[in-house]
Amino acid sequence: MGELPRLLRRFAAIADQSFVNDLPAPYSCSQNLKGRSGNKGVTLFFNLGFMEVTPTAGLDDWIPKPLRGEIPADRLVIVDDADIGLIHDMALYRQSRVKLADDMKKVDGGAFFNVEALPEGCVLIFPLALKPEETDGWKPFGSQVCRELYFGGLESVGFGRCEVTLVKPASQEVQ
Amino acid sequence: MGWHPYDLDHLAQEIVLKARKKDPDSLNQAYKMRATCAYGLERFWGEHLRLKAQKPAKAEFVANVWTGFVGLMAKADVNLPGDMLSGQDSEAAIQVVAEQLWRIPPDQQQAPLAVLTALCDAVVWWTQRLKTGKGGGD
Repeated sequence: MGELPRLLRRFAAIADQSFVNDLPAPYSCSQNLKGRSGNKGVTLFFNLGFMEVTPTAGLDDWIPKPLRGEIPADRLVIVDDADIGLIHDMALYRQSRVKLADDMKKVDGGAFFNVEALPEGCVLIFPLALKPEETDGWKPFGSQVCRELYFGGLESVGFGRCEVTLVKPASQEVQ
Repeated sequence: MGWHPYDLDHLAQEIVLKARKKDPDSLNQAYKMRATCAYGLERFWGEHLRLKAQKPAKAEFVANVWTGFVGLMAKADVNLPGDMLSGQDSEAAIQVVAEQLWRIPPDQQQAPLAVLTALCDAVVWWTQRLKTGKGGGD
């Protein structure tokens, strides 16, 4: 067993401190994960390599409650800190774009560029900090907890559409 | 347990250097191989058949990519036929290999095909860097 995964530890610190004592080991996966099963557990194939993972009970506890209906509980895999960067990189959605000249059917000088975006369906979790006296009145979505927002401006070149869900963590940091 | 890289670039560089040494004219097959990936494993495997009799260097380049790929997948316990034939071989011999490919269920073809495509991308990349400037043609 290697180091306990850093991103999960971070998530536990934000969402529920009680998780910290119960971190799953790298290379564990959902018990009913679909993959090629063999004598070395389940094999998952990627473009640049393959990964052998071990089915483990209880990983679905880690799906945030408001998202339980949306995130398939049979597709969870815990990886080592050293692998997650490569996995993110392999999954990026990549596109080449050009800006055409205003009056001619050709590329505007130097206006050829590549964009990269997180794939659709990514779940990003981040904390919001509020002053204690503001927490009760802060209702950016009115009576709703969920709304579609567009992050970024021109810089996010059309990739900024996100569904944002506000969740109150089990434990709250106090000053 | 754990992550096992295929080291595609290492393999691709070896194959391209070998092809360049044998016949720089064969390098343009790299683009054709990449294009066949869109049509599936059997189309890629079939690509070497047309070249074998007339253009052995080109057939060898294609064959090296296929056998290299079969070796990679074997490391992950996926067994694919490694036989290289010729368009002159008997229909029965060709059919035996093709049958082995067709028998793989579609969901189990996806992963090998993605790896083959990534290997072909690496072969094209190295071809572009290692071209001698001589030769060309198909």
